[in-house]
Amino acid sequence: MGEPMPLWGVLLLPIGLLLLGYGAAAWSAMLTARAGGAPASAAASAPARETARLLVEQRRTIPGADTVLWRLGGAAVPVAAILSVLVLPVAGRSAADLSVGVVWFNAMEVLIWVAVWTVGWGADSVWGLVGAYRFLVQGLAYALPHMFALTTAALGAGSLRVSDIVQAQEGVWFAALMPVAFGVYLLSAMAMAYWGPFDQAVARDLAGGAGAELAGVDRLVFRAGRYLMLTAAAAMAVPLFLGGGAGPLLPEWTWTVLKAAAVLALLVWLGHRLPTVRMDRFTEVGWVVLIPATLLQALVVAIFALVV
Amino acid sequence: MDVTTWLLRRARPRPFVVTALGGTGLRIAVEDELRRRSWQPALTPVAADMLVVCGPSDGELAQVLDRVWEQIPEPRVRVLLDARDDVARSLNEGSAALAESAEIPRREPPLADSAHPAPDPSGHGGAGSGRHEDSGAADASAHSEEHGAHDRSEGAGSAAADEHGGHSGHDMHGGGAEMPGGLPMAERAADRDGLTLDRLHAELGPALPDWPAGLRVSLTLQGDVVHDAAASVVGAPPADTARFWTAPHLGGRERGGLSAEAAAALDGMQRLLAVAGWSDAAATGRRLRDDLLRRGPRETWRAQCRRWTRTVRRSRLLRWSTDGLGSVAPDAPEALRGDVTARWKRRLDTIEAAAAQKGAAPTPTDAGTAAQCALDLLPSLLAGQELAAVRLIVASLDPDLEAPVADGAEAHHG
Repeated sequence: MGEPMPLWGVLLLPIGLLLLGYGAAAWSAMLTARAGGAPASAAASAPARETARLLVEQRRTIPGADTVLWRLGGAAVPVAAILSVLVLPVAGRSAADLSVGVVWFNAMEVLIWVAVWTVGWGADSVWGLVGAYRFLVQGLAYALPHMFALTTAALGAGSLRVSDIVQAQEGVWFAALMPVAFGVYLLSAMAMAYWGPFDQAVARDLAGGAGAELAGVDRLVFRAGRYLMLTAAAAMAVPLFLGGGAGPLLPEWTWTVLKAAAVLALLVWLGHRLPTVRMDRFTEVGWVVLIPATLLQALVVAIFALVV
Repeated sequence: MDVTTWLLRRARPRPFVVTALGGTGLRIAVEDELRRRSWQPALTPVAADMLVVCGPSDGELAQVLDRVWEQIPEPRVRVLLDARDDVARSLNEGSAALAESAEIPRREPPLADSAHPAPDPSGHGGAGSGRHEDSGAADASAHSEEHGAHDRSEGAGSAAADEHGGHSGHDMHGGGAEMPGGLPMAERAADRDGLTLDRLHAELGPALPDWPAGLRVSLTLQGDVVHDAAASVVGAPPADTARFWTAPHLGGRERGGLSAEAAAALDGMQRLLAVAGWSDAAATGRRLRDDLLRRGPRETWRAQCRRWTRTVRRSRLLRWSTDGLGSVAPDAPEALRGDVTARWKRRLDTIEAAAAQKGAAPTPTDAGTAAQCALDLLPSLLAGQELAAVRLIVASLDPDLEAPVADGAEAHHG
């Protein structure tokens, strides 16, 4: 149990998340521009320009929509992302070093399920509804391997407290000790932010899926929330698998930010490298391959923890 | 200068591009222009602030366009293009109009009971007559550019009702109950497992990104699974329109048969990749297509093309998504045979032949016959598939509906 984070640190946390999230969106726009042969440097401002456009755009009302759920769902995405990093230790201190920090992180990710479902369902649209269906199926496919990956990290440290997990990696990082769990965590990080190959819920073939009906500031919040969630998932990989702030020369918080940015850049790049995976095909892999693999990984780690 | 004006001047437009039959050349010019400006096209009218219409719009398409226009939030601008227009200049004018829209009119949301009856051609006895709202900000269209949900033209009630009654398969409202908003409930029918589930009617096209021009597919859906499907053609190009891909001139350049076929294959391929959720490969495909049309198959183009086809062909994930979908019997025209994977691999073969400059020009496929055959096959191919598969199957068949008309015109002129 480390010292609590000072108040200014708690205030900086969402700002840092926003900055990293913007970086992810800009990096994504640059990759798109490069693939299309357009100058990549000009694309860095694309998210800012889109933000400007959405801020002045008219919001949308739909007769027959479940407006409360629809608006709440969109707003819940960034809220869940910001709440999930409360347990993220930066320079050895977290905003809330809960004794069940890993469970807290997982609970916020489940909030995303609710959010995407209500956004899709509330909008009274075929696109939205089908996108929401797809996200629930995706949840069924990735959530268990994801939870086993988190459990494995907790097993290795013998604690659900995130700061304990960081301390347990002083010798060797968990990414090296439990590579299968780390790999599955990276996959499920993309899946929880419905990003890259797991973007079927908001896919192009559904004209935007769950978010198809959002206009103006609602669309901005929903889309920004997705980048925040991806950033939060990438940042949590640092204390769980990459030794937290451990590193030579630079101060601890710098290492945390650098590692988080590296994981985030990798996830964004992967999302651009790979086509969308159809969930009706992936579910089988999730259950037949990933769950046994993560269970075996947990078993190996448990034995290792007993012996060592 | 107030904040709104400041933001408007910094915003980058997001066009929603609709292609009419006969507008393929314009669509490609627009896509080329957008790609070079890094303007991201919108997937739905709701996400757009600019409506770009490529090619002639006849009566039926004009109605669709009106509904699309209704859904675009303010501030918004319409850009209608015909063959004589300078695409870049038209887009600039549209963009300038958006940046200067100092007074953004705020449209009031409609009252649901301002709906007016629409014809009910389907004979599905839905709850209540088909209707759609006349609305500014609200959606009234089932044209899947956007809202399958509110199909009023089928008399099926709305997906709203479907969603409320049907997302769990339980009827929570009782038949004929009215939804908030005064929308009627959906009807129900047995699904493939014999469960009684709500049905809703949705139309894909003709104003839908990554979708063949002029195609409309009317679906009856249960959840995201197609119960039955019907395909039709919306609009007709003017009689003097030549099929874009066989037109002898484009931008004043002669094009060999090999290059024209390869450009057509690249166009079909970029569309399929976009639907398969591989935006970057799709963007590269568009760039290769535009470079080929503009300058012909140069050496750098060949190298890039070989690299791109290799990447796409090797993608296990793509094959995993498309294997075994939409199998067509071997008695169909050659371009349609096999499953989705076989069809896109054939396209890659055509592109590679152009990149390697090997072999004679392929025998030009009879696009008219293939398109007609694809239209006839679609209902049977789509029944029982879910929406993702529907989009992949349509993109792999990619019927060129400008072709039959063009062929007919040629036959007509002797």
